[in-house]
Amino acid sequence: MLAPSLSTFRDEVRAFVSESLARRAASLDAEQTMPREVIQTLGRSGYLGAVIGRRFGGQARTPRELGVLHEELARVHGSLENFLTVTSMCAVAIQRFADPAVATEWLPRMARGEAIVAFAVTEPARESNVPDVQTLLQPDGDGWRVTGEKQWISFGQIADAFLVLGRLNEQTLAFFIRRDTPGLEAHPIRDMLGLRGNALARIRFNNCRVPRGNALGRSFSGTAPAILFGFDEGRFATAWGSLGLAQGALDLAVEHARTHYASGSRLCDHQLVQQMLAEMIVTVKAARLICEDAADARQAVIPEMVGATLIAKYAASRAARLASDRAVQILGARGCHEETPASRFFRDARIMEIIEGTSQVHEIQIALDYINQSTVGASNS
Amino acid sequence: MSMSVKNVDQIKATVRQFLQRSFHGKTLTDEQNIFDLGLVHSLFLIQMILFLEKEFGVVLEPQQLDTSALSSIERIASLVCEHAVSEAV
Repeated sequence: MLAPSLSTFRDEVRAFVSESLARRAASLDAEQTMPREVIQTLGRSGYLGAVIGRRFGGQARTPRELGVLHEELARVHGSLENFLTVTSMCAVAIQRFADPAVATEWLPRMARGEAIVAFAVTEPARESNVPDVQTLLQPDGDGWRVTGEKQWISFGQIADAFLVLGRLNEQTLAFFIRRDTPGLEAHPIRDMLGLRGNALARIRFNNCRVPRGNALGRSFSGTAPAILFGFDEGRFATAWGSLGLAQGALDLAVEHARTHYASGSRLCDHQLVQQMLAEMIVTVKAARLICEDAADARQAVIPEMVGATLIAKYAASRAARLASDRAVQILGARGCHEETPASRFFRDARIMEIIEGTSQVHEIQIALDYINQSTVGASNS
Repeated sequence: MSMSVKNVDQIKATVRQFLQRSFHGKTLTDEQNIFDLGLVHSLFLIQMILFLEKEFGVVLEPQQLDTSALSSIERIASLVCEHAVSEAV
């Protein structure tokens, strides 16, 4: 049960997306991009500044409000939701770690949908092993030159700037770089399984100049903190986005099962369909409670929020896969065709188990967290 | 600010308690490098930064967050003390 203020906010977001974005979002998969006018529409709502502080023109939403926002956007289109996710990942890192000049120039424009910043960490040869980054920075006067390549960068085709993780000697450094920097190339990647509106790109840096003021914090052994904070935000957002896909799939399946017939009776009167619905209902409910738990931990800004967020992303992305899989099954042939969103939910849900850390990466981190904090058997090790 | 009344020993004790809770109850000396223990995943760094900011009421500046500043109880206590002094001035 949502608190009254959250319920009002949900109604407001739902009305906005249904009136201003839903029709347009339906063709994002076919276009395989995120058109500027869609981003500008999202920007006019102010929601793109959800995690951005008011001093930079943002809305500084609470974690529960962020959850509502991501859930409602994902119900309309996974890529719409993921655009907010990527914007938020970059914004959190810029807000906390960037030079004030960079933050002042870019955050207000990101909040208004006038500037797009992409999170460029993944590399072709090392997709999950972040500390082994091969994008190399070399000192160059009062700054650096960067050479290397990033892969699978969401919104890389249309970004105006990138937040990048590079290697400086034996450490990593997060930095900001404008798209119009000489030597920077963006090559489109098309035909992905899901999140087809994400306008992915491979980004090449050919000896690109990075001014010192574009560094986000200092170099660090292990992953630069700016990137870690970005990932943390991305996982929270993706948890709620996944929940939106799961709830969307459940609603679609229930509607279909009530209005379609097999062997003379409604689908929802068939016990095997009820069994699938029950499994979806319980899985979605559990994921929702886990997401709410993470939101409350984040509201309290306690260290445990990081672990709670990992669990939420893991649980909700799995819930999205299960719910969308059963929705396709209940809708049958219709679920396999683009006339309903079932197939898109199914494809997008699969991506949610891979982005911002695969489920396997999450399993390792969740287990380590629990083992390290558990007192069971502690005296024997 | 509550920090201004805490001394270094109190800070070290609080930090040690947090780290031991996260490190399977392992006993840590003031100088021991916590990153060399290999017990935590990368996101532990965020947990530690959030803990220090919340517990001691400080905001850690990006330029002060480097590997060595957070590597041991001793260094963490120094970092927090510097903040407490600069924020109290």
